[in-house]
Amino acid sequence: MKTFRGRYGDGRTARLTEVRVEVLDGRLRFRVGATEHEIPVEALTLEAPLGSLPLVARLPEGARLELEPGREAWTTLHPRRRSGFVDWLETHWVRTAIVALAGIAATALLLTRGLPVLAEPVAALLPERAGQLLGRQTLEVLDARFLGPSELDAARRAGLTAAFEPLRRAAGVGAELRFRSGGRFGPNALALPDGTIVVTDALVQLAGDEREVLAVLAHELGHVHGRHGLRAILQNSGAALVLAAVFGDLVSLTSSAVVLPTVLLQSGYSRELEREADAFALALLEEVDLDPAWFARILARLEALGGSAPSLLSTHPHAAERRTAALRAARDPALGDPDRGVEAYGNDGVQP
Amino acid sequence: MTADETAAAPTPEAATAAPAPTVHPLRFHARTGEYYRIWIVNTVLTILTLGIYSAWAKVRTTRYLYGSTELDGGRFDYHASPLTILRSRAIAAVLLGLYVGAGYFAPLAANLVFLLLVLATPVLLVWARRFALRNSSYRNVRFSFGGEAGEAARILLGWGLLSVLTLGLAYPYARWLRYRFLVDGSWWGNQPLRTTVGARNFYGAYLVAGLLGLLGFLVGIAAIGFIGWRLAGEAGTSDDPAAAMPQWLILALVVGLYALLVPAWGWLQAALLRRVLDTTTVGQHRLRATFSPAREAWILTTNLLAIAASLGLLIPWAKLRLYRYRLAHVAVETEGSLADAAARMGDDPSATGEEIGEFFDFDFGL
Repeated sequence: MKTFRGRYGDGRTARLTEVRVEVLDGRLRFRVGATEHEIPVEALTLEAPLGSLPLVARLPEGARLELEPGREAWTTLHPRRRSGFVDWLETHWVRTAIVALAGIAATALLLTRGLPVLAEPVAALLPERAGQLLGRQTLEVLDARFLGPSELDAARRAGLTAAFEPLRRAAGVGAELRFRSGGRFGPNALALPDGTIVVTDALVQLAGDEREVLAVLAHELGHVHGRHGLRAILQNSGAALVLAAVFGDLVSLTSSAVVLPTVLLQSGYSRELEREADAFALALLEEVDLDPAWFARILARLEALGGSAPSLLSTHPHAAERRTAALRAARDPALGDPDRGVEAYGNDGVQP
Repeated sequence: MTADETAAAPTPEAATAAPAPTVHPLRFHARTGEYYRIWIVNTVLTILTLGIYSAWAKVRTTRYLYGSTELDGGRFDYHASPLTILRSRAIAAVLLGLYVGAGYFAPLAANLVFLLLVLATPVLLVWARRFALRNSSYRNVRFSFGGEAGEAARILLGWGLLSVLTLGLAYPYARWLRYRFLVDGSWWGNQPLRTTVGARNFYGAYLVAGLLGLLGFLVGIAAIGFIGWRLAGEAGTSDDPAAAMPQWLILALVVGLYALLVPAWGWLQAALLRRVLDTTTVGQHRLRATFSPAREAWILTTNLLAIAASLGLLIPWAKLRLYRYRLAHVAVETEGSLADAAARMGDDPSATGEEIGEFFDFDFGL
């Protein structure tokens, strides 16, 4: 026979009676006032144990019995004695620590590998129209807040647009080139989800040669081709949800609705997507018979600007590595050095 | 220890009550280690199941906190079904997705969704309160909520609009109405909850919190200005201090500015809650709240710093720290026994089935 300290409430009143509960031969016995209660263990509904809380047993007709010590009462009363997998994990520091480590590893894996893998097919499933709406929307916001009309002369813009066309055709995507004065964006180019590619005046001015701009455009075409805009949004949404799972206790649903879009707007592409766009650009340049060294050349210029202006580099922190990759693909690596002079472009019929 | 503190609290109304009431302090038995393990397993499983487990996590956490809270020998109970919570969370997630998605693709539609959500808040508030109370019990007697959505709409939408129109002057009054609505509609078994808190208290609290917030804001602005001026001095470009600052520093300062508003916010929430609790009666028993808003503001601020410094690992510790302090300073003064009071009239928890209240579990807090 086992005995437990108990508190009995009949469910109709708030009266609580301290009782001494005896368990013998599968029956529970206790006395409330003058009434002797005897209940078969099978008639109890036990609440799964939680920490060191007393065990709560629901009796027929809404009565409730609280038993202490809770763990001991559970192993005595429950036929299988098991308290569930989650409880098993929670009741021992070593097991919980393993869960924590596994959780950290799984989260890291989910953020770095899982989300990109998940985002790719989902982005492919989204209709074209989604990208179009999104692109138009983003450009409106950018125009309203950050960008102004281009101050480049029309001939230069027309020349670049004409040179861009064969590049776009070789990439096999729908894309449109827009020139803007970038302000704080510095020398930069952005690919929007609808295929619009925005080039800042500063980038065109920074480039010593139009072929350098084309190399950057090839990179942006890589983003368009891989639907990176949508993929980045999906990945970042997933990341925000994971964060919400951790901090959900603190942040209510309403405030995460406010934070979420900001997080999405501010985060750029992941390195993985950048690498993908780079590889695409190098192959594309080869295809249209432009030396990939032009890409290394413009990267070197951007790198030389350093952190003094927010530039392409701020969202692409691995410039040296990228330049090396471009140089490896180059036919004339010496071209990658911006200090070395080159033949003028466009006059002698060299068309990309 | 806490019993003595609470008993020693001044009781101006005590003179009117003929027999000396008995003071029962709340006792909180939660263990930090245990709660920590529950939190870790909850968090990891929530991530691994992509959020689905969060419903079970909520039930486990709430059950643990309620079950650890004792008053006069009885403990609180939480009865919500994880599946119900999962259902309402799924709906909430769809609504949130609609809102965020619409924000990207069609801002006009997003505004429409937002407007609909705003119009729905009174109903959601009533449902959430009903759900929370119906699934809570003390001494095997359930709580319930009888407030009507129409009344909630009048307070939230009507007075909310008025608050906007009066540039916030009516806002403390609207908050007061909201607190009163939430408390006065509540029942423990057949015992009604009532609060006699005055709107004056709310205006006082908002005034103090507003001044505190303003002070924090001014300190923050002064600090930013000073750092900017020093940096500009070093760089030799005094015309535009902002240009001399690295971006991370600007970000840190903006975050710091918000952090300076945290104490004011924490003070306000604690001050309002204390006033409301301290003037609340349950049947003929009355609640006593003696926690200090300044102390709670301190706890909240240091909690946030600890959470930030530990990258979130101290969340469970921080949460229990606040609960522990607050619950140690809440007590119930009983006229006669708690059991007798609720026992006079019968109350069958299963008979008060408010099915619609089972539907949503949005956590509005009180």
